[in-house]
Amino acid sequence: MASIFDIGKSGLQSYRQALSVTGQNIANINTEGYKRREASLVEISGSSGGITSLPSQNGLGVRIDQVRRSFDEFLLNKARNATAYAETSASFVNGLAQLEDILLPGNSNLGTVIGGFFDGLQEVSASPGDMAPRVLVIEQGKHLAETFRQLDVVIQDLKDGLHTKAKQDQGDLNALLSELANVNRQITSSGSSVANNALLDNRDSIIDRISKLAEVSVTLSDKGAANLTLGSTGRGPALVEGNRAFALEIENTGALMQFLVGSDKGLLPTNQMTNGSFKGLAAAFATASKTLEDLDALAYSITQAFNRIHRQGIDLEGNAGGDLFRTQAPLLQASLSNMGSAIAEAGVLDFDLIAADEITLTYNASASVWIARNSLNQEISRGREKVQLPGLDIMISGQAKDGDQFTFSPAAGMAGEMALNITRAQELAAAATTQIFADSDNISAAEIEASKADPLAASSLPEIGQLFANASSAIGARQFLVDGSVGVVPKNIENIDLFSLASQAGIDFYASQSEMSAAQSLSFVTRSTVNNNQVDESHSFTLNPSQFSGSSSWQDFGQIADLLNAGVLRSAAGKSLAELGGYAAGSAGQLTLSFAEVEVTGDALLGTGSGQMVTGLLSGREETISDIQIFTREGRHIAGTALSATEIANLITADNGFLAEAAYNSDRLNLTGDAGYKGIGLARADSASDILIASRGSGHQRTLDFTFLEGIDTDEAHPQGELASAAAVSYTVSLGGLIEASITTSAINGQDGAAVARAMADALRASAPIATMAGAATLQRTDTITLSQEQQNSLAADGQVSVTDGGIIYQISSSDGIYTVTSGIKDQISLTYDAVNTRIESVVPDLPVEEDSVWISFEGAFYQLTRKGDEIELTGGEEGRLSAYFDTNYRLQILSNSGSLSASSLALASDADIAGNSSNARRFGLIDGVTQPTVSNTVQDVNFAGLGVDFDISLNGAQLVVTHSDSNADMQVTTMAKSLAGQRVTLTDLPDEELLVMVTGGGARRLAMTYDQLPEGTLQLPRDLQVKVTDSANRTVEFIDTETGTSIATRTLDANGRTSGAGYDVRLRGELETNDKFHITSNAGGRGDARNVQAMIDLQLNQTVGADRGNFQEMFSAMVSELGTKLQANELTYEAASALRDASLEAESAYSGVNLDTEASKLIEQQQAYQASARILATARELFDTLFQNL
Amino acid sequence: MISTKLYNAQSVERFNRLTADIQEAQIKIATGKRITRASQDPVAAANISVAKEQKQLVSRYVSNLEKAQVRLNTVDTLLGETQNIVTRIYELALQAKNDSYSANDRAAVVSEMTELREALVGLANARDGNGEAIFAGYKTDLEAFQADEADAITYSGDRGIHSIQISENMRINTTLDGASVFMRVQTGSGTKSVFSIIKEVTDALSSGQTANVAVDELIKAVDHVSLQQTRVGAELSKAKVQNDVLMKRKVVLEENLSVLEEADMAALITELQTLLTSRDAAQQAFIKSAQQSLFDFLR
Repeated sequence: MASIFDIGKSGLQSYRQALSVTGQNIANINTEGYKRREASLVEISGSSGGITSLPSQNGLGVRIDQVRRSFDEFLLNKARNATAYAETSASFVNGLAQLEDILLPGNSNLGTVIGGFFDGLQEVSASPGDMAPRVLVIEQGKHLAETFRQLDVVIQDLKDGLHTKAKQDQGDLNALLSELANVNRQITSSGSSVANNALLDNRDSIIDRISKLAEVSVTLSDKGAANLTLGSTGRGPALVEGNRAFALEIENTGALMQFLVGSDKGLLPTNQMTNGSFKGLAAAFATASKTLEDLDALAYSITQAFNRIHRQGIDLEGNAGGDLFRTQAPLLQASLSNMGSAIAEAGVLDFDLIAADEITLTYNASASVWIARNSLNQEISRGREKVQLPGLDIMISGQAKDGDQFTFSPAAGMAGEMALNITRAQELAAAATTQIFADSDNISAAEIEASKADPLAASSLPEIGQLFANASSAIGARQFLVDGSVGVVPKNIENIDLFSLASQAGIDFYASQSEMSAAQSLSFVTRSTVNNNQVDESHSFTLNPSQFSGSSSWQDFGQIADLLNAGVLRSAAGKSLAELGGYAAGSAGQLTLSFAEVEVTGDALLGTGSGQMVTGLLSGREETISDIQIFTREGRHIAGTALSATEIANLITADNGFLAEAAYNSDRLNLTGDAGYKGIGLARADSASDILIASRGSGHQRTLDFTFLEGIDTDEAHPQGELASAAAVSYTVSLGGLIEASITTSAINGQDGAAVARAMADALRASAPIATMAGAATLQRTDTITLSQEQQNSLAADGQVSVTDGGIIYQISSSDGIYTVTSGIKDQISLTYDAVNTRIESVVPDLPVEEDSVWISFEGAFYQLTRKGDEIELTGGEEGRLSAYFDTNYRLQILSNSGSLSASSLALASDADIAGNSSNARRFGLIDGVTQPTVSNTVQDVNFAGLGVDFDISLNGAQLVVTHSDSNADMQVTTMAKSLAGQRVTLTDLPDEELLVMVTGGGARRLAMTYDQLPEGTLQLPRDLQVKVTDSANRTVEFIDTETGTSIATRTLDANGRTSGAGYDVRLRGELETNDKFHITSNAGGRGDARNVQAMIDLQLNQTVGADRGNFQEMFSAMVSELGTKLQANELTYEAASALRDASLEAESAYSGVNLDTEASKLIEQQQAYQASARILATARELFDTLFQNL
Repeated sequence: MISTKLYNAQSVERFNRLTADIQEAQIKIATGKRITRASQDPVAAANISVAKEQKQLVSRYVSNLEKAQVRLNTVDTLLGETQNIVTRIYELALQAKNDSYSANDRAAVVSEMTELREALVGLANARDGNGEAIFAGYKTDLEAFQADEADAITYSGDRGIHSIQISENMRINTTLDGASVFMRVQTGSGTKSVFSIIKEVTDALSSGQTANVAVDELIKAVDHVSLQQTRVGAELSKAKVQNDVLMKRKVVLEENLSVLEEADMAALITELQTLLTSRDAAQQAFIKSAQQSLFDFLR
């Protein structure tokens, strides 16, 4: 049995300890993270008894079992989650409130600025001709753009601020994570099985702080070390694992804040940021991005809508309105994660049709197709190399991998780049482009209504761009099988040059790789017509590759074609292909031969060894040139040959691209300029002679203009060997029936008209006398160099000496009394040594000074001869006509480079023509004292008909001018030319409408053309139109181009007076009178017109028909309300979250927090127990005393 | 029972919230606005911005209307003058047609008529306060009516009629085009200009062919001008009606806006008073409760 004394002692000790625990609690009332401690008391049980004794039922006292830390994991986790949730809302609400302040800073916001701009436009509408309101509205427009840019900057700043804040918090979080890892290490390394309470407090306090930033899931080890994963699921990425911490990283992707967590594999992105202030910041960041997107879309919408209308107007200076707001090229970006090498390019067709919506193109490898989706992820289009979208095509090239993406964001960055495109008030296009009214001289009182008609449906015929290479080339030409429609010249072609070509006879060999490489021989038969007799000639070529390369087989047909063209391969008769008039093209599998002059017939064979033959396909020669015809879709005949009634019936049909109402009209056929259709520029030549040699002028002077058709009249080979064309060009000119010359390519040194003209002039002059002029004097002077005594000695001793004279050093050497100059300008002086007088006499040129000039007249032109160093430069007159030089005797020699038809002589220009020319001539040695220069004409050809010819030619670029000496004479000039081209139609300043091209007249039906396209977006003011009543009884009207009076279309009015034509829907109301006119004219000068500005004003209330455009203030208002609603909702969430957090904290605090009242009552309770235990001791002592006294 | 530390912290938090509410109420009282941020009532905020936009538009329509009225009145006056002149010429023609007039008398009449015709050209080329031609259609910088070599008056303006917006879907013409007013009088012999009718009369008078004086055409001209004046009158009365409509709309809009936007002062001040009272009470209570704990009784 235990001593009562011991029991009392145990009580005293235990309660003293309990009191100190309570004291500790009170002392730590304000300690962060401190969890209330509780001393738990247990009875010290009695002895266990033995075999002979009952166990004692009395205990042995009391003891402190443990000082328990009031820790409830469930309550604590709940409090942490609630805190994280509240933090999310708090930082999100904070961000949203800032955003709201930005969008609605006070009385003036974007909405009111937009309203102000419209109000300014109203002011312009009231007095459109007045400058003051225009200046004002320009300022308001700038302010509008500035407001957009400002908002963009401020929202970007907000985003940056949110990102910076998150970055700071990231630092804090990562520090806390490492600290926790550190605490974990201490907990696990402590020896006892239960960790120190203070360490646990520290642990929980750190986790509390982490939870505020990011919601985490906590798992505790047996010893109490905490492992954290991100997010509420417990399956998020690890942040702390034992004593390892993994850092969190935040990345700004532009639109979003992306969270990444470190791991053994490096940083990995996570979406487990479920709550905490990071989550709030990220949400606010995303909302700000979304707001910015909305702002961009609004800016885009404004730009697009205003520009569309502004471009339809006309400004105060009568110019077409351009863009009102500046546009930017839409952004097309490849995704950063693209694995392939595909490149995309956006081709904008119509800016107006491109919505602000972002479009994503994703590559689907299994279908090998690009799929375009809108922002709602709905598929809107797909394509392989081209994806067609409203208003634009996206072309994609290169190799793509599955899942590769391109993002097309037309509106991206618009707000930040918004700017007014016009700077001057006059440029505001307030007036509408056209005015529509009845002529004030009309007899009738009929009125007109007109509106732009829907654009004509394009004809179903192919456009020329799809059919023809844009090249005047025989290889780019295209052959048609039948007469009729060829194609359409689209609206945006400004100039076009069409050629109708003959087709040459040809042979095509198609061979396999093995046949080609084994090719051994080539044979074919040509047929020419001589004096109406057909003459056939067989030609065979031996093809032996080893002659030209180390290999015994051919690489490809290109190699054979090159050797044939170069004349290296020759026929058995020793003729080259060129001599046969042929040209070859070749590639891997095809060899093509074309013949300029002859037909091919019989068998064409390519021997490929062992008796194997490949037979060539022959194509016949067609010399007849087809007629080129050009029409409007209304049946107006612009160029070609007038059609017969049958042809009209056959050709003017809807199938050929004509409108149903088309009526044939040839009033303007082949006319040019003001007489031409809508002022079109037109030149038409329908023979090779007219194409290559244009002859102009009359009377005694004729001008011949030479053209060289490079690509048509040159040898051409298609790189793929499919086509070849042999040059067959010649030019013939006959002058006055006396002199005739003919030239072909070989004589022409160059590929343009000037080269032809030069060659022609040379040919015409070939036999004519050459004029020469020789100077009268040699230009020399004598110099004397006296040798000094020293130099004499040196010369005697060394046999050589250096003499300096006039800055030039001469080396003189003597050998056997002969003195020679060994250096210096030895060729220009001659030396003699005068031994008696010990001096050297030299003769040096005495040329005129540099840049000195003299003038010569020849064939009626003046030539200036200027000294340039040792050369004479010739200027003036005909380039290259004369040559001039100093001969070895320093006498000036001048001669004509080819003969002079009129046997003109060279003569000095007189002083009357060129002041001071005779003194010039003296300096040049042309006159020496009284001696005149010698003038001579050398006849080259005794048969030259000339020497009596009284006309001459002169050359000026590509022009050859023939002039008769008698101004009353009629200079007879005939020209002839041969070309592959037999007809040429050149059209310039084409009207803004589609034209139809046809071929008629049978023949080769082979066309080539070149054309100029107007650049994208070129503004063209519509031409003034008249609607003229041509027959009031039959109600027929004619649409007429006002400026040129050209009839564009013929129509009959329906019962309501309606019709459509020339791009307008027209209605005439009232009685009509024949010859009454109605105007649809340009409104240039219409400064009092406000219709276009009114159309812009209509955008404010979205009154434009059938378009979801305009109403910008409402769009902004919607943006603000959306944000406001979000903020309002989140403020409520915040309140709820705060309440939840408070409740959870209360619950946790009620369990583990220190409450003074509780502690005070414990203090009293424990003190009482302590006092009572002391009383036990006292009682024990009294018991002892009693016992002691009784002894 | 929660910890003393949390209790204190939560109390402080509650005071902060109360203070924020008080601030909010004070701002509303100071601005007189019910809503100071869109998020307080997003729906009302959207309505307010629509109402303000409307108000701005209506004010603009009113000011457009005033401008239109000024111009139409000018046009009306000019047409009145024109009417007077043409009527005077008609009277002169009637008199001069009388055979009792001598050649000299006729010459005097012709000379007066020519003067009047000049004056008429002047009226036709009249300009408004901004220096813009009134009867030149859209080509308001032109002297649209000019005499050619044959002394015939030609019109180089166009037939555009400037109009201005006076409500969302109503526009009013502020002028007439010169061609309609002066150049297109329908007569028995086709469409003629007022000037050429007068010219023909003076030519007939000067050549003494009184029989050819087309008095009936002058009547047509008078009628034509008065018809034009009627057109202007119609626009003016349309303007008057629209003015009344706009004024009414303005009043309604302002009322609406005030209902939407303006704060209920009585309610706000009561709310503020309540808030202040609760803050004071809460603070007092906190001071009392925080001061006391069981320790106060441990003596």
